[in-house]
Amino acid sequence: MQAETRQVLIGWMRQFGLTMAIYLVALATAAWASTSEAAGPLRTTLILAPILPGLVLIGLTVHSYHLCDEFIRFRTLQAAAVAAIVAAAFSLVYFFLELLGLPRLSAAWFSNIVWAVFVAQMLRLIAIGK
Amino acid sequence: MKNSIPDLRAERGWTQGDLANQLRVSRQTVNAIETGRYDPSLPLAFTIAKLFKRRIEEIFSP
Repeated sequence: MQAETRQVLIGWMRQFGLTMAIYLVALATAAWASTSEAAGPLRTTLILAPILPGLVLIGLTVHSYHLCDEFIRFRTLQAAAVAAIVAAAFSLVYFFLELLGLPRLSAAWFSNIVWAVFVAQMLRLIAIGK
Repeated sequence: MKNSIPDLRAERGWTQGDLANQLRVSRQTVNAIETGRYDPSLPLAFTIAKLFKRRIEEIFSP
């Protein structure tokens, strides 16, 4: 890896890590405020607080996507498309399985499946050429 | 699309990583192009041709 690329990557990871830490603190504060704080402007502000660092995280992710070269961008989009198709297929199938009596699943299940499929494909991409 | 990048690279004693650094792409990209799993964009093909001092059609063939 070129020294210049490494510097860009380290800078991005630092920004992402810091923003993720801020997001997690804001998230914990919002969870606390939703149950413990009395209704009012402070509670509203605390509950909405994670939105801003969340949007910054999305912006940083988009920025990192643009830092990648054409092949990595292509494969990332492909991985996202496959993950979306798997999620759609799973939700369709499970809808009918629920009608047959299987337990209702939370959205977290779908999120885990989508991320697992996406990450598996990206790990395969990283392994290319090793 | 076939290409002669592995031969051209070997002539110069470059690794895939060396070539990737000069093209400012990842090693995975060089590997995918060499093995024919990915066809580079026209700008990247021009960059490759310029680096090896060849014409595009001398490096890539259908």
